[in-house]
Amino acid sequence: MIRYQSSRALALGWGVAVGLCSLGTRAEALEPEDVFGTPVAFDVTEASTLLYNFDNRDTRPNQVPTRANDDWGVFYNRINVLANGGAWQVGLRLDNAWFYRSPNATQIALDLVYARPGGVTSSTAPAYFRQKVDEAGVELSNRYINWLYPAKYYATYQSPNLELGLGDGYVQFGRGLVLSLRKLDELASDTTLRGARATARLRSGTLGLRATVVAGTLNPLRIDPASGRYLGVDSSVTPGFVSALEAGMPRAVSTDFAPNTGNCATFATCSYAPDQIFGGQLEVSHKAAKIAVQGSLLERGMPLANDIVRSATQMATGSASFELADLGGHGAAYLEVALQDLKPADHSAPKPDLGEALYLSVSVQAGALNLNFEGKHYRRFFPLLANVSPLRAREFSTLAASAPPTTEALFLDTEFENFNTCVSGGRLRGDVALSNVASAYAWAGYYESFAESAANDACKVSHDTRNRILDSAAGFELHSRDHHSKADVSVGSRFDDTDRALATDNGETHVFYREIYTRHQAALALGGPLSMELQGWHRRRHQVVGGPGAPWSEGDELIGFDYAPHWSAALGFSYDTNAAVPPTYVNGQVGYRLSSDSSVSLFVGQRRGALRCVGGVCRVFPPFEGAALDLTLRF
Amino acid sequence: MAGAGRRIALRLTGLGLCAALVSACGSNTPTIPPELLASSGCDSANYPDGPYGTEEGDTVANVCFKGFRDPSKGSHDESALQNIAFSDYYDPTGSKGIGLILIDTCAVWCSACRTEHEGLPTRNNQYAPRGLRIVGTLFQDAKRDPASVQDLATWVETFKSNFAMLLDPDYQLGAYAPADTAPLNLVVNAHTMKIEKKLLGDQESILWPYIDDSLPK
Repeated sequence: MIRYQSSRALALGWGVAVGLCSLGTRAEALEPEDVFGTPVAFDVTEASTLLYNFDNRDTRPNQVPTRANDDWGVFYNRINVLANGGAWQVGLRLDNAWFYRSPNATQIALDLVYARPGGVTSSTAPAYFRQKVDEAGVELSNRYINWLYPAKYYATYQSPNLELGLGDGYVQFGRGLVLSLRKLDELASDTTLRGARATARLRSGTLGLRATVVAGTLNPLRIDPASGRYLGVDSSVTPGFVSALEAGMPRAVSTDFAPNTGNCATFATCSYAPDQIFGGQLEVSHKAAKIAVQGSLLERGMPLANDIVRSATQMATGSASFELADLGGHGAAYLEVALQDLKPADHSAPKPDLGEALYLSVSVQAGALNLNFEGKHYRRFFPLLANVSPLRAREFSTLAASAPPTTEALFLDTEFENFNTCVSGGRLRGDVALSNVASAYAWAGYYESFAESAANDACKVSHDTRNRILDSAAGFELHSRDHHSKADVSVGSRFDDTDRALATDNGETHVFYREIYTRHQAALALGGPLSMELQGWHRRRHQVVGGPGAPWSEGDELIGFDYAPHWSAALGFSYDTNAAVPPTYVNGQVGYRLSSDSSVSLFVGQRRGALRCVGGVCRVFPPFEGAALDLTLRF
Repeated sequence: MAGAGRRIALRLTGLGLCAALVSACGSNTPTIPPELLASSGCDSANYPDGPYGTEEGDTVANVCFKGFRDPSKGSHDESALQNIAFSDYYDPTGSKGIGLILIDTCAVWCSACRTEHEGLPTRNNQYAPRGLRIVGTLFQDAKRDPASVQDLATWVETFKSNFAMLLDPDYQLGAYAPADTAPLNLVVNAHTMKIEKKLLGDQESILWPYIDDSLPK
């Protein structure tokens, strides 16, 4: 880890920029090299982002965070180097963030004083000013800090029967109930297990055996370029070998507003304590059938939050799974049953009952019809939330080492609160091919959640806690005979009601959430090198408890043109009638592909703040207004 | 030809980066008007001395609000607002019969806050006789603008609040937790004004067993 000041950062930035200027000649040098008699191919990927965020228009009176995210800029650079020597691979990803402009705590407080609305107030202007300076000081203490650190590094050996790895690696057991550490490009998320892993395979005829063991610490990306926040550790949460694994990673820093207390629990910029994770999987396969048992043990030193998951010092999760990859040529089936045990840090606190989960997936093909059912039954079954302080680094609060399947559409972002920790239900989707160029699909899902409208860590199943959710959609797909053009249009709805009456400002109701929406995506070949892409999602929403209080509409529409092989351009428009946010957003993007792996693009404009989800893994993206220049080079 | 174009594009990109890196540097230290440096706050002669902090184990600073000390009695208009401070609940000798203070932030837009407040009147009936005082602070409306007296009135009438509900349009408790993480629950020892527990969100299964264990049976 290097935390550096501006002059050094500037030198580094210059170094990278000058390096870019001479890429044309250096690229030709990356031919396989002979290393101890083995040809080693080097693969270097350089990804740089130069971003400036102006006023992103989320400013609210008296709210420090809404001003602390304006007028900042970052040069964010990622260099990936991979050396591939056949069975051996060695890789390093070095991340560097240099914030060339950032907000000032005193200025934020002054701006809030000048914009302070009238009405009933209790504090004088000097008291208000001091309070906002302190608040802004703490808010900025772990944002917009320059870092250079080894985000990922690894060495692997791979043979047909054995895989060994040291350093960072991805792990997923089963369908993610037990352990799931993956890269999700859509969410700019890349979480690995930093440690050691080994997989051995044996095969005899149609019988196969695979055993995997992993041990290490959770290693998320430490810098969130969307907010400028970073995750910092200190020595109180990196005991023993964890300190070696955390060598070079961003640390908590002391500031005038966040003194170093020597204890991560009370050090205001210490926002992360790496969990130690041990896991194993044993899998036996015979032809298309596969049986596996897998388990993970998450050991936590000092909890940085008090919720039921993050306050647990130990979480043991185990599952057994059975898979039939081929149902006589007509489909596949998968079943996983899991148990989870949490040990609270406070030994006097009541120990939660054992968590249970059952997940089932069955797909059937019969002629032109394709049916897929996914079901789940979870009781007190929690995602393995990372030991992040949501108070100090709320942008990372959804970081987890597991991802229990939602069984819902991948894009769905309306499982509120702890919906998925105490729920039963499933979704059936049917696809039917209508002709060579057209198909139709529809799904219907029904769920009963007992932890969505009520805090219910114990997963008490009753009318007082139940929400009934009906989610459905229908659509059709068209594609041209040459498959160069295609279109997908759908409409959907979600009805979410509580059994108990909910108190609202307008009286009691059983309606918890309502939504209707339409989605579309089309790619059209316009002839020659020109093609067009159109995608949109338009929603009418009503969140009765919480939210803006009245139904609102929101949507995004993007139209893009591609002139092969080099040029692309896109225009985006979004709207949101929620009175708490600006009504419209416009942006444009132009890109130039240098080669299949290298490109440069410029984004200018506004982006709506939103919760984005991919398969139940969600992340809040703050609104953006500014410009971003992206450069990706592979050589 | 394509190779030459690529090299030119690369060099232009590099130069653009260089120029942007240099031009964006600058100083942004503001000047503070003297009137904002005057000493003035929510002082109380009868309150623990600092230093104050926002983490567990720290002493909470005294904060003054306007609100309804007991919304179950009287009207809910502006004329009924009372001046209420944390120091009102400070009970070093136990003479007021207060053992713990639960400071709870809430906002109209916050679904977890609303869920939590559905159950707070019952909790207040259960634990007030044992020395708990609940102090709720409403800070934002449905549009995330500062809460008004009307918002506070609607809130206490909707949830039938029977404990102190205060108006905090300035979000004076912002140093404890950002607004987005509401509700914030601070369990404060009334004898020392030290924070014993700090919870984000509606952590019912953690909060209430802790309060139950901490208060005399």
